[in-house]
Amino acid sequence: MAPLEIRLYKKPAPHRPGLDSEAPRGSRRAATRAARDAVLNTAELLENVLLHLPARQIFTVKRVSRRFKAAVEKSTDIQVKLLLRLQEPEEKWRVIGRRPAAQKPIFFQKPTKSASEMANGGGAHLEFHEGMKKSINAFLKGEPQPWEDMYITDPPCTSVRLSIDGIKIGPKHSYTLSTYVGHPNGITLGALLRDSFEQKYLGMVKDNGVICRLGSRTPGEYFARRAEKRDVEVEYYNLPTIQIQRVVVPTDAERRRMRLATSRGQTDGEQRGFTFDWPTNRDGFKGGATGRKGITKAKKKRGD
Amino acid sequence: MASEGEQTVKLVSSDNVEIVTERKVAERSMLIKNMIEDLGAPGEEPIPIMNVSEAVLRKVLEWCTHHKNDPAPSQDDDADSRKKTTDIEDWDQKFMQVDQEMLFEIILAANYMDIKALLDVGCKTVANMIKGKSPEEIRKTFNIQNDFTPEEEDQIRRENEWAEDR
Repeated sequence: MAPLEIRLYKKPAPHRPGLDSEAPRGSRRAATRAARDAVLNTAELLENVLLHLPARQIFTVKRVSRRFKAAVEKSTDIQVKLLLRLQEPEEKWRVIGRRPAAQKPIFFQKPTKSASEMANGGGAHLEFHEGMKKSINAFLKGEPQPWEDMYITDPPCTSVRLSIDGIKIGPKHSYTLSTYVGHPNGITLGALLRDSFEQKYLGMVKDNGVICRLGSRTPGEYFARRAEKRDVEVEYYNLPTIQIQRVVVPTDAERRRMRLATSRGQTDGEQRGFTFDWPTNRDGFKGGATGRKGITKAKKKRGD
Repeated sequence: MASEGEQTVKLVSSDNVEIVTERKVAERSMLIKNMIEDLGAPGEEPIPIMNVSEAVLRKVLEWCTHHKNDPAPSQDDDADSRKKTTDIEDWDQKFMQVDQEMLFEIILAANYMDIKALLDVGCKTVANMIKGKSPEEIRKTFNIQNDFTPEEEDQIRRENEWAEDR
Protein backbone atom coordinates (compact mmCIF):
# COMPACT_ATOMS: atom_id res chain seq x y z
CA MET A 1 0.00 0.00 0.00
CA ALA A 2 1.28 3.38 -0.91
CA PRO A 3 2.10 5.60 2.01
CA LEU A 4 -0.55 8.10 2.90
CA GLU A 5 -0.12 11.16 0.86
CA ILE A 6 -0.07 14.26 2.89
CA ARG A 7 -1.44 17.09 0.87
CA LEU A 8 -0.30 20.49 1.83
CA TYR A 9 -1.70 23.09 -0.44
CA LYS A 10 0.21 26.21 -0.98
CA LYS A 11 -2.52 28.75 -0.96
CA PRO A 12 -2.80 31.35 -3.69
CA ALA A 13 -1.66 34.75 -2.53
CA PRO A 14 -3.88 35.32 0.51
CA HIS A 15 -5.93 38.44 0.60
CA ARG A 16 -5.46 38.84 4.27
CA PRO A 17 -2.21 38.16 5.96
CA GLY A 18 -1.96 36.14 9.08
CA LEU A 19 -4.31 33.29 8.34
CA ASP A 20 -2.76 29.92 8.30
CA SER A 21 -5.43 27.30 8.23
CA GLU A 22 -3.52 24.59 6.50
CA ALA A 23 -4.00 22.28 9.40
CA PRO A 24 -5.03 18.85 8.23
CA ARG A 25 -8.74 18.33 8.24
CA GLY A 26 -9.26 14.77 9.25
CA SER A 27 -12.11 13.94 11.54
CA ARG A 28 -14.72 16.54 12.33
CA ARG A 29 -13.26 16.86 15.83
CA ALA A 30 -9.80 17.61 14.57
CA ALA A 31 -11.26 20.16 12.22
CA THR A 32 -13.05 21.78 15.15
CA ARG A 33 -9.89 22.30 17.05
CA ALA A 34 -8.12 23.41 13.92
CA ALA A 35 -10.73 26.05 13.15
CA ARG A 36 -10.95 27.35 16.70
CA ASP A 37 -7.21 27.38 17.20
CA ALA A 38 -6.65 28.95 13.82
CA VAL A 39 -8.96 31.81 14.77
CA LEU A 40 -7.74 32.31 18.32
CA ASN A 41 -4.09 31.89 17.38
CA THR A 42 -4.21 34.34 14.53
CA ALA A 43 -3.38 37.72 15.98
CA GLU A 44 -5.43 39.60 13.43
CA LEU A 45 -8.57 37.52 13.98
CA LEU A 46 -8.27 37.53 17.76
CA GLU A 47 -7.83 41.29 17.62
CA ASN A 48 -10.97 41.58 15.53
CA VAL A 49 -12.90 39.60 18.15
CA LEU A 50 -11.54 41.57 21.11
CA LEU A 51 -12.23 44.91 19.48
CA HIS A 52 -15.92 44.17 19.79
CA LEU A 53 -15.72 43.90 23.57
CA PRO A 54 -16.41 46.73 25.99
CA ALA A 55 -13.24 48.36 27.31
CA ARG A 56 -13.54 46.86 30.78
CA GLN A 57 -13.82 43.34 29.47
CA ILE A 58 -10.73 43.82 27.36
CA PHE A 59 -8.79 44.18 30.58
CA THR A 60 -10.36 40.98 31.86
CA VAL A 61 -9.39 38.91 28.85
CA LYS A 62 -5.75 39.78 29.39
CA ARG A 63 -5.80 37.15 32.09
CA VAL A 64 -6.98 34.35 29.83
CA SER A 65 -3.62 33.40 28.37
CA ARG A 66 -0.35 34.85 27.19
CA ARG A 67 -1.70 35.00 23.66
CA PHE A 68 -4.73 37.02 24.72
CA LYS A 69 -2.57 39.33 26.78
CA ALA A 70 -0.20 39.89 23.88
CA ALA A 71 -3.14 40.51 21.54
CA VAL A 72 -4.39 43.29 23.80
CA GLU A 73 -1.00 44.84 24.38
CA LYS A 74 0.29 44.68 20.83
CA SER A 75 -2.79 45.88 19.00
CA THR A 76 -2.73 49.57 18.25
CA ASP A 77 -6.45 49.55 17.55
CA ILE A 78 -7.22 48.04 20.95
CA GLN A 79 -4.87 50.45 22.70
CA VAL A 80 -6.59 53.32 20.96
CA LYS A 81 -9.94 51.99 22.04
CA LEU A 82 -8.73 51.91 25.63
CA LEU A 83 -7.34 55.42 25.15
CA LEU A 84 -3.95 54.24 26.26
CA ARG A 85 -2.57 55.49 23.02
CA LEU A 86 -3.50 58.21 20.61
CA GLN A 87 -4.74 57.41 17.19
CA GLU A 88 -2.06 59.02 15.07
CA PRO A 89 0.37 61.60 16.35
CA GLU A 90 -0.76 64.16 13.81
CA GLU A 91 -4.31 63.90 15.05
CA LYS A 92 -3.18 64.83 18.49
CA TRP A 93 -4.00 68.49 18.44
CA ARG A 94 -6.76 68.78 15.96
CA VAL A 95 -9.22 71.49 16.69
CA ILE A 96 -12.22 70.18 18.39
CA GLY A 97 -15.21 69.71 16.18
CA ARG A 98 -13.38 69.06 12.98
CA ARG A 99 -13.60 65.33 13.35
CA PRO A 100 -16.70 64.79 15.45
CA ALA A 101 -16.65 61.03 14.97
CA ALA A 102 -13.24 60.83 16.53
CA GLN A 103 -14.17 62.58 19.74
CA LYS A 104 -14.07 59.74 22.12
CA PRO A 105 -15.69 60.04 25.48
CA ILE A 106 -13.58 60.93 28.38
CA PHE A 107 -12.04 58.00 30.06
CA PHE A 108 -14.78 55.74 31.35
CA GLN A 109 -17.19 58.57 31.30
CA LYS A 110 -20.71 57.82 30.35
CA PRO A 111 -20.68 59.35 26.90
CA THR A 112 -23.22 62.06 27.48
CA LYS A 113 -21.33 64.95 25.97
CA SER A 114 -19.00 65.27 23.05
CA ALA A 115 -15.63 66.89 23.47
CA SER A 116 -16.75 69.88 21.46
CA GLU A 117 -19.67 70.45 23.79
CA MET A 118 -17.25 70.27 26.65
CA ALA A 119 -14.94 72.75 24.96
CA ASN A 120 -17.80 75.18 24.81
CA GLY A 121 -18.30 75.03 28.52
CA GLY A 122 -20.91 72.31 28.56
CA GLY A 123 -19.27 70.39 31.31
CA ALA A 124 -19.06 66.66 31.60
CA HIS A 125 -18.94 64.26 34.45
CA LEU A 126 -16.10 61.88 34.73
CA GLU A 127 -17.58 58.99 36.53
CA PHE A 128 -15.24 56.54 38.00
CA HIS A 129 -15.79 52.90 38.14
CA GLU A 130 -15.89 51.34 41.60
CA GLY A 131 -12.61 49.54 41.00
CA MET A 132 -11.12 52.78 39.81
CA LYS A 133 -11.83 54.59 43.07
CA LYS A 134 -9.65 52.19 44.95
CA SER A 135 -6.95 52.66 42.41
CA ILE A 136 -7.23 56.45 42.59
CA ASN A 137 -6.91 56.30 46.31
CA ALA A 138 -3.78 54.21 45.96
CA PHE A 139 -2.45 56.66 43.38
CA LEU A 140 -3.04 59.62 45.67
CA LYS A 141 -1.14 57.78 48.35
CA GLY A 142 1.79 57.48 46.01
CA GLU A 143 1.46 54.07 44.36
CA PRO A 144 2.01 54.15 40.64
CA GLN A 145 -1.06 53.14 38.65
CA PRO A 146 -1.27 51.91 35.08
CA TRP A 147 -3.67 54.63 33.94
CA GLU A 148 -1.51 57.60 34.90
CA ASP A 149 -0.41 58.39 31.39
CA MET A 150 -3.77 58.04 29.74
CA TYR A 151 -5.08 61.22 28.24
CA ILE A 152 -8.49 62.14 29.56
CA THR A 153 -9.70 63.13 26.12
CA ASP A 154 -8.83 62.27 22.59
CA PRO A 155 -7.55 64.56 21.18
CA PRO A 156 -5.92 65.64 24.43
CA CYS A 157 -7.19 68.77 26.04
CA THR A 158 -4.76 71.25 27.53
CA SER A 159 -6.88 73.07 30.01
CA VAL A 160 -9.56 71.84 32.35
CA ARG A 161 -11.64 73.33 35.08
CA LEU A 162 -12.89 70.69 37.39
CA SER A 163 -14.40 70.04 40.73
CA ILE A 164 -13.96 66.99 42.86
CA ASP A 165 -16.71 66.15 45.28
CA GLY A 166 -17.01 64.09 48.39
CA ILE A 167 -13.53 64.11 49.85
CA LYS A 168 -14.18 62.82 53.33
CA ILE A 169 -12.10 63.70 56.35
CA GLY A 170 -13.78 62.31 59.40
CA PRO A 171 -17.49 61.61 59.65
CA LYS A 172 -18.77 65.19 59.51
CA HIS A 173 -16.70 66.84 56.83
CA SER A 174 -17.19 66.44 53.13
CA TYR A 175 -15.02 68.67 50.99
CA THR A 176 -15.34 69.93 47.47
CA LEU A 177 -12.28 71.01 45.54
CA SER A 178 -12.69 73.27 42.52
CA THR A 179 -9.59 73.92 40.55
CA TYR A 180 -7.92 74.38 37.23
CA VAL A 181 -5.39 72.18 35.52
CA GLY A 182 -3.41 73.15 32.46
CA HIS A 183 -0.84 71.21 30.53
CA PRO A 184 0.45 72.36 27.16
CA ASN A 185 1.16 68.83 26.07
CA GLY A 186 -2.22 67.41 26.94
CA ILE A 187 -3.70 66.43 30.27
CA THR A 188 -3.36 62.89 31.45
CA LEU A 189 -5.48 61.40 34.18
CA GLY A 190 -2.44 61.22 36.44
CA ALA A 191 -1.59 64.89 35.91
CA LEU A 192 -5.21 65.87 36.39
CA LEU A 193 -5.38 64.33 39.84
CA ARG A 194 -1.87 65.28 40.86
CA ASP A 195 -2.20 68.90 39.84
CA SER A 196 -5.61 69.27 41.44
CA PHE A 197 -4.18 68.44 44.83
CA GLU A 198 -0.68 69.85 44.50
CA GLN A 199 -1.09 73.27 42.93
CA LYS A 200 -1.04 76.36 45.06
CA TYR A 201 -3.40 79.29 44.72
CA LEU A 202 -5.54 77.70 42.04
CA GLY A 203 -7.89 75.57 44.01
CA MET A 204 -10.91 76.50 46.06
CA VAL A 205 -11.91 74.14 48.84
CA LYS A 206 -15.31 74.08 50.44
CA ASP A 207 -16.18 72.23 53.61
CA ASN A 208 -19.86 71.35 53.43
CA GLY A 209 -20.34 74.46 51.31
CA VAL A 210 -18.25 76.83 53.44
CA ILE A 211 -15.12 78.20 51.78
CA CYS A 212 -11.92 77.17 53.51
CA ARG A 213 -8.86 79.39 53.81
CA LEU A 214 -5.97 77.61 52.20
CA GLY A 215 -3.43 80.42 52.47
CA SER A 216 -0.29 79.28 50.72
CA ARG A 217 -1.05 75.62 51.18
CA THR A 218 -1.94 73.29 48.38
CA PRO A 219 -5.29 71.53 48.70
CA GLY A 220 -3.37 68.32 49.33
CA GLU A 221 -1.51 69.89 52.22
CA TYR A 222 -4.71 71.39 53.57
CA PHE A 223 -6.50 68.06 53.55
CA ALA A 224 -3.55 66.32 55.13
CA ARG A 225 -3.48 68.93 57.88
CA ARG A 226 -7.21 68.58 58.59
CA ALA A 227 -6.85 64.82 58.67
CA GLU A 228 -3.94 65.05 61.06
CA LYS A 229 -5.87 67.34 63.41
CA ARG A 230 -8.85 65.01 63.43
CA ASP A 231 -6.60 62.01 63.63
CA VAL A 232 -8.26 60.32 60.68
CA GLU A 233 -7.23 59.50 57.17
CA VAL A 234 -8.28 61.41 54.12
CA GLU A 235 -10.77 59.32 52.25
CA TYR A 236 -10.38 59.86 48.59
CA TYR A 237 -12.39 56.69 48.12
CA ASN A 238 -15.47 58.74 47.99
CA LEU A 239 -14.54 60.64 44.89
CA PRO A 240 -17.84 60.14 43.17
CA THR A 241 -17.43 62.34 40.15
CA ILE A 242 -15.06 64.77 38.65
CA GLN A 243 -16.84 67.40 36.72
CA ILE A 244 -14.95 68.76 33.78
CA GLN A 245 -16.22 72.27 33.26
CA ARG A 246 -14.16 73.43 30.38
CA VAL A 247 -11.59 71.85 28.15
CA VAL A 248 -9.38 73.51 25.62
CA VAL A 249 -7.88 71.66 22.74
CA PRO A 250 -5.30 73.74 20.95
CA THR A 251 -5.52 74.63 17.29
CA ASP A 252 -2.76 73.66 14.91
CA ALA A 253 -1.26 77.14 15.13
CA GLU A 254 -1.26 77.08 18.90
CA ARG A 255 0.32 73.70 18.83
CA ARG A 256 3.15 74.94 16.65
CA ARG A 257 3.74 77.84 19.01
CA MET A 258 3.82 75.52 21.95
CA ARG A 259 6.23 73.17 20.26
CA LEU A 260 8.48 76.12 19.60
CA ALA A 261 8.25 77.25 23.19
CA THR A 262 8.95 73.76 24.46
CA SER A 263 11.95 73.38 22.21
CA ARG A 264 13.34 76.56 23.69
CA GLY A 265 13.40 74.75 26.96
CA GLN A 266 10.54 76.42 28.72
CA THR A 267 8.89 74.32 31.34
CA ASP A 268 5.22 73.64 31.68
CA GLY A 269 4.94 75.98 34.59
CA GLU A 270 6.51 78.96 32.90
CA GLN A 271 4.13 78.66 30.04
CA ARG A 272 1.16 78.46 32.27
CA GLY A 273 2.22 81.44 34.27
CA PHE A 274 2.48 79.75 37.64
CA THR A 275 5.05 77.62 39.30
CA PHE A 276 4.83 74.06 38.39
CA ASP A 277 6.67 72.00 40.87
CA TRP A 278 5.32 68.70 41.91
CA PRO A 279 7.55 65.95 43.11
CA THR A 280 8.16 62.98 40.90
CA ASN A 281 7.49 60.57 43.69
CA ARG A 282 4.03 61.31 44.85
CA ASP A 283 4.36 60.86 48.53
CA GLY A 284 2.77 63.32 50.81
CA PHE A 285 -0.85 62.73 49.98
CA LYS A 286 -1.74 60.39 52.74
CA GLY A 287 -2.83 62.02 55.93
CA GLY A 288 0.04 61.83 58.38
CA ALA A 289 2.24 60.06 55.89
CA THR A 290 5.97 60.40 55.73
CA GLY A 291 6.01 62.56 52.63
CA ARG A 292 8.99 64.67 51.88
CA LYS A 293 6.87 67.41 50.45
CA GLY A 294 3.42 68.55 51.32
CA ILE A 295 2.42 67.05 54.62
CA THR A 296 5.81 67.36 56.24
CA LYS A 297 5.98 71.00 55.33
CA ALA A 298 2.50 71.59 56.58
CA LYS A 299 3.38 70.01 59.88
CA LYS A 300 6.28 72.36 60.44
CA LYS A 301 4.16 75.40 59.85
CA ARG A 302 2.18 76.74 62.69
CA GLY A 303 -1.16 75.10 63.00
CA ASP A 304 -4.35 77.08 62.69
CA MET B 1 -27.07 38.65 -22.87
CA ALA B 2 -27.90 37.82 -19.29
CA SER B 3 -27.43 40.58 -16.77
CA GLU B 4 -24.75 40.13 -14.14
CA GLY B 5 -27.25 39.16 -11.50
CA GLU B 6 -28.53 36.19 -13.45
CA GLN B 7 -25.14 34.84 -14.32
CA THR B 8 -24.01 31.83 -12.41
CA VAL B 9 -20.62 30.66 -11.27
CA LYS B 10 -19.35 27.24 -10.31
CA LEU B 11 -17.48 26.93 -7.07
CA VAL B 12 -15.58 23.86 -5.94
CA SER B 13 -15.17 23.18 -2.24
CA SER B 14 -12.08 21.70 -0.63
CA ASP B 15 -13.78 18.29 -0.60
CA ASN B 16 -14.37 18.56 -4.33
CA VAL B 17 -18.07 19.32 -4.38
CA GLU B 18 -19.29 21.61 -7.11
CA ILE B 19 -21.77 24.29 -6.11
CA VAL B 20 -23.45 26.51 -8.66
CA THR B 21 -24.55 29.89 -7.43
CA GLU B 22 -25.55 33.29 -8.67
CA ARG B 23 -22.60 35.46 -9.58
CA LYS B 24 -23.92 38.35 -7.54
CA VAL B 25 -24.09 36.11 -4.47
CA ALA B 26 -20.60 34.74 -4.97
CA GLU B 27 -19.18 38.20 -5.47
CA ARG B 28 -19.89 39.13 -1.89
CA SER B 29 -16.54 37.39 -1.57
CA MET B 30 -13.75 39.69 -2.71
CA LEU B 31 -11.63 36.62 -3.36
CA ILE B 32 -14.17 35.25 -5.84
CA LYS B 33 -14.87 38.67 -7.29
CA ASN B 34 -11.20 39.17 -8.05
CA MET B 35 -10.89 35.66 -9.43
CA ILE B 36 -13.85 36.17 -11.76
CA GLU B 37 -12.32 39.38 -12.96
CA ASP B 38 -9.02 37.63 -13.54
CA LEU B 39 -10.56 34.64 -15.29
CA GLY B 40 -12.73 36.79 -17.49
CA ALA B 41 -15.27 34.12 -18.38
CA PRO B 42 -17.58 33.51 -15.44
CA GLY B 43 -19.62 30.35 -15.36
CA GLU B 44 -17.25 28.24 -17.42
CA GLU B 45 -14.23 27.58 -15.30
CA PRO B 46 -15.06 26.19 -11.86
CA ILE B 47 -13.51 28.30 -9.12
CA PRO B 48 -11.69 26.31 -6.45
CA ILE B 49 -12.29 27.48 -2.89
CA MET B 50 -9.46 25.47 -1.51
CA ASN B 51 -9.72 26.05 2.20
CA VAL B 52 -13.47 25.72 2.60
CA SER B 53 -15.42 22.48 2.85
CA GLU B 54 -18.81 21.95 1.24
CA ALA B 55 -20.80 22.31 4.46
CA VAL B 56 -19.09 25.59 5.35
CA LEU B 57 -19.22 26.92 1.82
CA ARG B 58 -22.97 26.29 1.63
CA LYS B 59 -23.42 28.11 4.91
CA VAL B 60 -21.33 31.03 3.72
CA LEU B 61 -23.30 31.20 0.47
CA GLU B 62 -26.52 31.21 2.46
CA TRP B 63 -25.29 34.35 4.17
CA CYS B 64 -24.18 35.85 0.87
CA THR B 65 -27.58 35.17 -0.66
CA HIS B 66 -29.37 36.98 2.13
CA HIS B 67 -26.97 39.89 1.89
CA LYS B 68 -26.51 39.97 -1.86
CA ASN B 69 -28.19 43.35 -2.18
CA ASP B 70 -26.32 45.04 0.65
CA PRO B 71 -24.36 48.10 -0.44
CA ALA B 72 -20.81 47.22 -1.36
CA PRO B 73 -18.36 47.85 1.44
CA SER B 74 -16.06 50.78 0.88
CA GLN B 75 -12.41 50.72 1.80
CA ASP B 76 -12.87 53.35 4.47
CA ASP B 77 -15.40 51.26 6.31
CA ASP B 78 -12.64 49.44 8.03
CA ALA B 79 -12.00 51.80 10.88
CA ASP B 80 -15.67 52.50 11.49
CA SER B 81 -16.86 48.93 11.68
CA ARG B 82 -14.29 48.31 14.39
CA LYS B 83 -15.90 50.84 16.63
CA LYS B 84 -19.27 49.19 16.43
CA THR B 85 -20.46 47.25 19.36
CA THR B 86 -21.74 43.75 19.41
CA ASP B 87 -25.10 44.55 17.87
CA ILE B 88 -25.98 41.94 15.32
CA GLU B 89 -29.04 42.13 13.16
CA ASP B 90 -31.71 39.51 13.82
CA TRP B 91 -31.22 37.49 10.68
CA ASP B 92 -27.47 37.28 11.20
CA GLN B 93 -27.98 36.34 14.81
CA LYS B 94 -30.16 33.39 13.80
CA PHE B 95 -27.72 32.52 11.06
CA MET B 96 -24.93 32.32 13.61
CA GLN B 97 -26.80 29.93 15.86
CA VAL B 98 -24.53 27.07 14.93
CA ASP B 99 -22.17 24.94 16.95
CA GLN B 100 -18.84 26.43 17.90
CA GLU B 101 -16.93 24.47 15.26
CA MET B 102 -19.11 25.82 12.49
CA LEU B 103 -18.84 29.32 13.89
CA PHE B 104 -15.06 29.26 13.75
CA GLU B 105 -15.13 27.57 10.35
CA ILE B 106 -17.32 30.40 9.09
CA ILE B 107 -14.91 32.99 10.47
CA LEU B 108 -11.98 31.30 8.77
CA ALA B 109 -13.89 30.99 5.54
CA ALA B 110 -15.00 34.62 5.66
CA ASN B 111 -11.42 35.64 6.30
CA TYR B 112 -10.08 33.47 3.50
CA MET B 113 -12.82 34.41 1.06
CA ASP B 114 -12.48 38.04 2.10
CA ILE B 115 -16.08 38.76 3.10
CA LYS B 116 -15.59 41.53 5.59
CA ALA B 117 -19.16 41.90 6.78
CA LEU B 118 -19.48 38.18 7.49
CA LEU B 119 -16.11 38.15 9.23
CA ASP B 120 -17.32 40.95 11.49
CA VAL B 121 -20.58 39.17 12.30
CA GLY B 122 -18.58 36.06 13.19
CA CYS B 123 -16.14 37.96 15.37
CA LYS B 124 -18.98 39.79 17.10
CA THR B 125 -20.63 36.47 17.82
CA VAL B 126 -17.44 35.21 19.44
CA ALA B 127 -17.13 38.50 21.34
CA ASN B 128 -20.65 37.94 22.65
CA MET B 129 -19.58 34.54 23.93
CA ILE B 130 -16.75 36.24 25.83
CA LYS B 131 -18.81 39.13 27.19
CA GLY B 132 -19.43 39.03 30.90
CA LYS B 133 -17.32 35.94 31.45
CA SER B 134 -14.42 35.53 33.83
CA PRO B 135 -11.05 34.48 32.44
CA GLU B 136 -11.64 30.95 33.70
CA GLU B 137 -15.05 30.78 32.03
CA ILE B 138 -13.54 32.05 28.79
CA ARG B 139 -10.85 29.37 28.94
CA LYS B 140 -13.50 26.73 29.50
CA THR B 141 -15.66 27.99 26.66
CA PHE B 142 -12.88 27.82 24.13
CA ASN B 143 -10.74 25.12 25.70
CA ILE B 144 -7.80 27.44 26.16
CA GLN B 145 -4.89 26.42 28.32
CA ASN B 146 -3.98 28.78 31.12
CA ASP B 147 -0.28 29.33 30.55
CA PHE B 148 0.21 31.83 33.35
CA THR B 149 1.66 30.94 36.70
CA PRO B 150 -0.73 31.79 39.55
CA GLU B 151 1.63 34.63 40.51
CA GLU B 152 1.61 36.07 37.02
CA GLU B 153 -2.14 35.89 36.79
CA ASP B 154 -2.50 37.56 40.13
CA GLN B 155 -0.10 40.29 39.07
CA ILE B 156 -2.13 41.04 35.93
CA ARG B 157 -5.31 40.96 37.97
CA ARG B 158 -3.95 43.54 40.37
CA GLU B 159 -2.68 45.74 37.55
CA ASN B 160 -6.10 45.79 35.96
CA GLU B 161 -8.24 45.85 39.04
CA TRP B 162 -9.06 49.48 38.49
CA ALA B 163 -10.59 48.76 35.13
CA GLU B 164 -12.38 45.49 35.58
CA ASP B 165 -15.93 44.98 36.55
CA ARG B 166 -15.51 42.83 39.58
